[in-house]
Amino acid sequence: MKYRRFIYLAFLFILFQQVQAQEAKFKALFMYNFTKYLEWPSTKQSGDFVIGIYGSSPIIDELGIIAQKKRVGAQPIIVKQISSSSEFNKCNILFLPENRSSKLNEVVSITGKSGTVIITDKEGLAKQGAGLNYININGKQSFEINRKNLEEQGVKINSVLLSLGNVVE
Amino acid sequence: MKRILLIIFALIYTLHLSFAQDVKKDISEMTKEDVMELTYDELLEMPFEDLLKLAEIVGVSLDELYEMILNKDVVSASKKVESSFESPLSTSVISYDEIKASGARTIEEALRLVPGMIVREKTNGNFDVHIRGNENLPPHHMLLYSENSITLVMIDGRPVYNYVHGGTFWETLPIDFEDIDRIEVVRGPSSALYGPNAVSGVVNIITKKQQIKEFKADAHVEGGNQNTLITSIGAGKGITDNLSFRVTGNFQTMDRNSELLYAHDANEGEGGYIARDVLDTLRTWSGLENQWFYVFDPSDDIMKMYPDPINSRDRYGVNGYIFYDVNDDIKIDLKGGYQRSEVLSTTMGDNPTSYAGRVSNTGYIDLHAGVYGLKAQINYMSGWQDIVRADNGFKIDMTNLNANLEYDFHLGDLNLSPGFAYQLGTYDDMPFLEQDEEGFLNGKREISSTAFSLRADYLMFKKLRLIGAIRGEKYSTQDVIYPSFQIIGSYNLKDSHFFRLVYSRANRGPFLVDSYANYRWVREGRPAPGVIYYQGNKDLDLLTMHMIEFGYRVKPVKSIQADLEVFMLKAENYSALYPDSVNLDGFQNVPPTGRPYVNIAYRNIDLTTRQLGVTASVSWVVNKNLVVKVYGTFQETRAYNVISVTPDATVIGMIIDANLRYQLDTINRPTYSLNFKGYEIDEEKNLSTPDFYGGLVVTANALNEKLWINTNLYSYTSHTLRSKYSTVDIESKLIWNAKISYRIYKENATVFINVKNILGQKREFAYMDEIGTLYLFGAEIKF
Repeated sequence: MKYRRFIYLAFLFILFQQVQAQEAKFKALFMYNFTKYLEWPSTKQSGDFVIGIYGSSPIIDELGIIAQKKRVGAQPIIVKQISSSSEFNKCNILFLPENRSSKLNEVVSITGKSGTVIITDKEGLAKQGAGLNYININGKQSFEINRKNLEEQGVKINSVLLSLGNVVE
Repeated sequence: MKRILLIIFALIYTLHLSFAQDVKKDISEMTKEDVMELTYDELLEMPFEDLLKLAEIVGVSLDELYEMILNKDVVSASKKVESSFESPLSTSVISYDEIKASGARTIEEALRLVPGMIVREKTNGNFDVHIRGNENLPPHHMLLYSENSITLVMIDGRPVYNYVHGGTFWETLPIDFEDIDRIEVVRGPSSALYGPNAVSGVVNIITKKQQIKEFKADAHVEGGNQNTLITSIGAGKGITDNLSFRVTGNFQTMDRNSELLYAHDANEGEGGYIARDVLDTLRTWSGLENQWFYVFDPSDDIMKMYPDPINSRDRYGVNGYIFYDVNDDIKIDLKGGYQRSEVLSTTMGDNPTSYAGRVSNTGYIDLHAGVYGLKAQINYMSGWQDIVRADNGFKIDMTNLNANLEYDFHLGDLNLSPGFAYQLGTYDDMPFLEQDEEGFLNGKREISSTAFSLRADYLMFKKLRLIGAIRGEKYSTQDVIYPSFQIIGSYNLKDSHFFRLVYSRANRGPFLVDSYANYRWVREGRPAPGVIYYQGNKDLDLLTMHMIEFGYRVKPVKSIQADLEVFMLKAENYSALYPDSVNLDGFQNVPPTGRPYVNIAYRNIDLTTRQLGVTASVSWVVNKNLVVKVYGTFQETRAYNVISVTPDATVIGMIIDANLRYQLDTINRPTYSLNFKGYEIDEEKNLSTPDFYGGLVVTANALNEKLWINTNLYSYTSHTLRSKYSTVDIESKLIWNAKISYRIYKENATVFINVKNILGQKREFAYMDEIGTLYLFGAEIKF
């Protein structure tokens, strides 16, 4: 009986892990696809393409896989876990996991127009300073895009991206 | 042969490959499992549009699911949006989806899903609802004192409180399921936030807002035995990008499982359930089958009081909502509605039976405006209520006006919110009184209150939050200003542990009848006293509660949230209707025959109560298909200076005493005042609050989210209700409900079976119905 319970719990655990990984995987894939529709300032078009993750998130592992397989233009992708605000401006993309959402204002004020695209993971944050924001509409993963915020972060946007996400102002 | 086999194998393999590629090419036909099998390389080569479609197929994210289920947004604890994990007070939220999944028939029943709530069914669909108990105080009195008058129920911040006797007539809420977005419950004294009557806590029902421009409609219908029919519909549409509207309607009818009515025994013994026609014969002070029952007044018309004793609840309501978001900083909502309801539940009066009809007919309008940091709300309710159907004096015209104004100043990490509030209630029984008839008020009366408040909310180091709130309330009936406070410190440790410490103090407001009662009861054909005069008292000290609470929330893993609250409560300044004095000279117009008249007045008593308890709850999102929530409260309530006899017994003692003195002094015929001292005792616990109450909810889905099963248990331990009529033990009860739903067309059409109280017939409230099992069948449609 104990053995059966263990199998059942193990099964649930594996299922849980799989679904959780799937979600982070799509967020990472979305992020890679965003880069196809954004143009960074020339200062950030050479050297490494740095994706900074503020704090810890399962997305780091997924982005690591993509970084091994893909480049942004000619730039190799580097995925970095960021813990200090001094590193914000070095990033092409700075991702704030949901539990760091409260830092958004601070991040926006530091990065300014330096060409760091801020991506968040909590409903409503595209209105509060994020350029792109992962959302969930009726259980379906999608994203919000704020053109004004992206321009203020120093990047140009291909209008195709606007047609793919939920545009907010 | 080998060649043939090789060719067959090659053909099969080629077919398999081409078939597999076809599947991968046709994204719209892919299943969740197909998507899960795609490799990174395949996903990375896909156009973004296709990737978005695949994300749709994969469905709801677990993180989002955790947030939706475990950490819902709440506004009632701080008057601003925050996650329930970071709520500084004991707060619970139940969403529309949870309510619907549970199979609750009414808003009251849905509160069984909330930790810290005691919910007992009186008659089919009518419930007694308390936060942490403190009910039946003072004991040995009318059933009125078992009603909950210390919880403030609001719809979008609009109080739906009965200021006549205190409490909430739940059936008079004009809204139902399709209006509701979520129900927020704050446990503990909250007058500093919401004004009077938020003593044991607050139930704030938040209605839906039309979020999208497209037409959206929902409908719910279910019916079953005991003539139960419940319908609720809602529809909304955006007219422009920033202007939208919504309309809703609801209808309920429910029958009891018996048409007998309980008759109280006059000797504080056990009464019995008898038919209305037999009840009608109890007109003289005589026994029935060797049992003595209380008798009706000669003027009472039993047929009018109980025109349909089988019917427990009939109600309908309509509501309209207009939402105008001028921009992100200026938002205006206008809400209005109308309701009519009839229920058969416990009496608010002193009738020979525990049952009484209650009929209400009211309308409301509620305006919310948010302009930058300024929040303004003004609402008006008007209508009539017959609180004890067809019993003289209980029918009144009434209006309620509430106005609130608050401004939020953001000064860095400090938020300051000064506020102003005004309430006015008018009540008039004259339109319903015939010539020579007397009501409780005998005129138009009003109670108003004016309040100023200030709340400071300071966040230090992004972790430590300090909140202080004070509100001073000046009631038109009381001379002094009543202050209420809230002092809170909370600490968020790495978004996984949350600690909080709360001190708060709140008070109940004055009630109309308590303040202005002016009623003479000539007791023809009854034993002494010959006349009872009911007298209001505007100088009552208002019931006040103090609380110290420690709270801890923890998220050991993302999928689990546990919540613990330890509370100590003290309540004082109870008041009730008690004999005040007796005079043998008779009332003005009554000849001094020696038959006494008794003054009964609303008086403060020395009763105080102390509660010590702990509420714990754990929610676990096991996976996308299974969610489990378990919760319970253990508590002890001690009562001090409890008047251990009924008001009637004190009257008899007073009359004997007065008669004795009368014989000694026939000239002065003095008035004798009652002193309770000889009757007061301390009790180790207030027997009416169960020692334990709580529940378990399991929601599971299968068959690719087509089949949904919700089963919920609610339980309380045995307890005792002590009224002036008798003492009744209520056995412990386990209530088991189950709802099985099947989506027959996408998410748009669902059919379901809803079984209530599966374990069978048992009484939950003294003198009320033995609640039976209900089998309901229904459908939900949304588009």
